[in-house]
Amino acid sequence: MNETLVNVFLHHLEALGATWELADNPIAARLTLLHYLNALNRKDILAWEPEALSLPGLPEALADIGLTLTPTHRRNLNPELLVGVTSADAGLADTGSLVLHLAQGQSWLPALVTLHHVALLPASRLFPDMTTWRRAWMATRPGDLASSIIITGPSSADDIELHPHRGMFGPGRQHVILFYD
Amino acid sequence: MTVADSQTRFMFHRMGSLTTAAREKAWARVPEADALKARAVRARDRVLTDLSAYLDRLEEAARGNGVTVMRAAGAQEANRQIIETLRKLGATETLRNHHPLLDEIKLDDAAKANAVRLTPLHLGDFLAQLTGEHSGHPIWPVGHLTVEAISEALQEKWRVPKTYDPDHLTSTVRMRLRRLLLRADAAVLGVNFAVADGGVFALLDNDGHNASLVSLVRHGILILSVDQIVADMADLETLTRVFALSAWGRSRPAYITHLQKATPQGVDGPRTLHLILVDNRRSEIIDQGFGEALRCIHCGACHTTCPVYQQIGGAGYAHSPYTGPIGTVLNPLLLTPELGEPQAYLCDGAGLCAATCPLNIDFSRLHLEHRQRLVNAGRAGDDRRFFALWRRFLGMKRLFIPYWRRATRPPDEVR
Repeated sequence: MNETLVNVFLHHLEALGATWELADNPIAARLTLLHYLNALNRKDILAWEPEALSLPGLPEALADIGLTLTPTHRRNLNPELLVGVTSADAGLADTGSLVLHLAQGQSWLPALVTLHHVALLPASRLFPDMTTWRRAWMATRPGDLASSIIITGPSSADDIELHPHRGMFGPGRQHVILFYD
Repeated sequence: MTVADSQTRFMFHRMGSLTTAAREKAWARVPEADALKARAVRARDRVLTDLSAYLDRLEEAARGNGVTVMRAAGAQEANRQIIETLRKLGATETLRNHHPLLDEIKLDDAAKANAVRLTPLHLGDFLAQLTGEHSGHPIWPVGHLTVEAISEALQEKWRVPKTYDPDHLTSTVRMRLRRLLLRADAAVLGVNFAVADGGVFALLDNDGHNASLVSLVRHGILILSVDQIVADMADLETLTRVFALSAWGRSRPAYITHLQKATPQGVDGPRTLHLILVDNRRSEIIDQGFGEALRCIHCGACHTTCPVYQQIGGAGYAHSPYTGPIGTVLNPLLLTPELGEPQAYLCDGAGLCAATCPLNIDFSRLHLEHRQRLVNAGRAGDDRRFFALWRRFLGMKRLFIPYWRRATRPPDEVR
């Protein structure tokens, strides 16, 4: 993995007001996530299906410390679910963006309706920019442009006197755990 | 046309200064800025010079993706199609996003007249509706209102405790809008750009209201102004970057939502997608030789530098959603002659709009063209009161001093 790419991505994330941690492997990433969620002191966490999170053994490890991942079901959203955990289909280094496709088990809601979004990103899914990522995507899925969101930093609204307010509809806090896979 | 009160003028000027500074700083960080702008102009002109072919391509791609496609020649037809579609779908709670086209066709009024529950989800639009204010800017509809005015409106309507803290006020409105979002079953979505190759629809924002709507509602009705078609994904990326830089001073919007087709059971996103392609005089505008005005992507950059806009505010443009310099070019073409024609004179020739526009629209040429046509038709200069007021306005030299200073500042100081 290109270290420069990782550094550029993390630099842009920081500039956007997001926070990040870098893990050496998926097991270290799992531990990092457990620490992070434990510190937030939330019991129920809105999340993607465990198999889509790219971290094997995560539900069991979370259960050991009394945390549960709640799958997203439209209209059954508990407003108390303040933390959302997702993976990402791609990270774009030039802007610190995360790409999330719409797919089975990969709801956008943990990255949208929560106040705090934690994203797990394998380093192999890091691309220099949008063009490179799209080329790679089209090479494997020609013709399918995919419905996707590209998230660049936390949600913000500045409609009142242009005062920046973090977390309008999307989360006001974004934390990325980037790990080598 | 009247000069706004001093408080409103101050707020428009403040908005202009803040957003101009952010935009200039962001563009200064783009090493290939000129090349990017040139690519954006080519992307717009490519489509505008062959609009009907791109429209057919988009329609074919969208139908191929299972989207129901309708065409509307005008605002009335578009509204009828939206209301009928909502009725057919049995939607009881509908939300709409922030988009000038929805204001142009006066969708809110049509929904009210037809007893359809339709609420704007965007904070600025919601506050504009709540306060009864006309949207003053394409990006910040109530950017000219003071926090005190917004607080008082909320106290009066919702009996919330008095506070002048913008964060607190935003959170108060957010909670209400979020509840609406969780129970809405349909969304009317004005589309920023649509890609002819593949039929992808792009929605851009920083607060996440578009992505939230797309995720949560069962039925999506996409409303597209036909001039906002782009040829392919590369052009979409170019225009998205240009929009983000010029509108918000960011390299990319916080949320870019790309939607291509309805989603199956078990996946977020609308189960049905409907597309209404709205012409509303766009084809005529091209035929009349004003196609260059349609390059506009409604980033609002021209507004924030315009001396006239900052003195008369958004309400000075005949209640059109197109205010500022782009309003003076589009409104004579979109509104009735009585309302639209005088707008061609809302320009003092400073030329800052053209210098700021990332799509290189030649506003001066378009203004002169409009005025020439009015002279040729014998309709210019018959409103003595208008010109008397205009002379008085131009005589208020004090108002223009900050703009002259800004315009004559060396480029190094700007950065």
